[in-house]
Amino acid sequence: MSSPLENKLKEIFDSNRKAAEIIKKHPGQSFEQIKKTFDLNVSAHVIVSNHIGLFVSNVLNRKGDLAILAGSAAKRIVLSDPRIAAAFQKLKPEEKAARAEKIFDALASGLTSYFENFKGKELDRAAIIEELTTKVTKKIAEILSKF
Amino acid sequence: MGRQQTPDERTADLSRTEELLEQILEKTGRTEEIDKKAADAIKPTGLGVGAAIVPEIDVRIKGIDPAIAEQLRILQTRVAKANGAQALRLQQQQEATLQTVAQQLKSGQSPEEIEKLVAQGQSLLEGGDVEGARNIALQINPAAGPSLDLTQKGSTHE
Repeated sequence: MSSPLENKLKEIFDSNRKAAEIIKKHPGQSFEQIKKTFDLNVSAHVIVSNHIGLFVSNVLNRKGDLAILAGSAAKRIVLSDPRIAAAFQKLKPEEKAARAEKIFDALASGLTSYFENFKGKELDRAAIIEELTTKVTKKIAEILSKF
Repeated sequence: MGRQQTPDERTADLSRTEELLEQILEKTGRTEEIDKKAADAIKPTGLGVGAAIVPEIDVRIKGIDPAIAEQLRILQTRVAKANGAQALRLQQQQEATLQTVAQQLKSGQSPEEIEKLVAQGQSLLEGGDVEGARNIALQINPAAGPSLDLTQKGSTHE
């Protein structure tokens, strides 16, 4: 068993390692700018979680074809993720459509393949939602950063 | 009799959403796609405003059957409540990291320097050199001194 001091030190090191990574990802940004990104990510995570929750329930309750359900969830996520809305703000409609389609394609195929390759995993609804939410939220950030 | 549902702590209960949305489309005869409706109905606004999270409900259900609208309102309220709780939990989880980000930016140490010190401190801690690790932690954050006071190591108070 670790002592309270050892636990505190571990906590300090972990927290500082994470913070250093975050600062490296936002070069030259102020704390307020970084905080704004954090808040946007929280909001995006919550919204994505809702759509994924509904998608997972529909898949597990066999309420439709997997590819169609995945397409539906992907479209809803693209339409409501505030990070996408913020990134697309100044784009022309045709650019928005092209980029939205790229995100949609990546999400729809990711959601479909997740359940296609589901074999061997434990059927824990909440854990699946959490895992998929994290994957999707990260995937969108990754795609947006490449545009 | 209605089935009693156990709310999942991590997600909002949206089990009735699809059904309600389909009913809305059927009753209104509108041509809008169901996915756009779902995106609007589920989308919470007002999230992520610091600690004071006030989830608002984006109700765009005017002109539909009052009974369905009422059910959708109940659903949206539940979604908003779950969203608020989830957002708060996520923000609380990240609070310590954010405070550390603020402290690092203020200290002027580069993230590379910090990472080097962290690796050094973690290695000392793993090797059982708690005092050495403590000194490294103080180099990273001198303000952490009181919470790393060896004489108070049994205390649970900050």
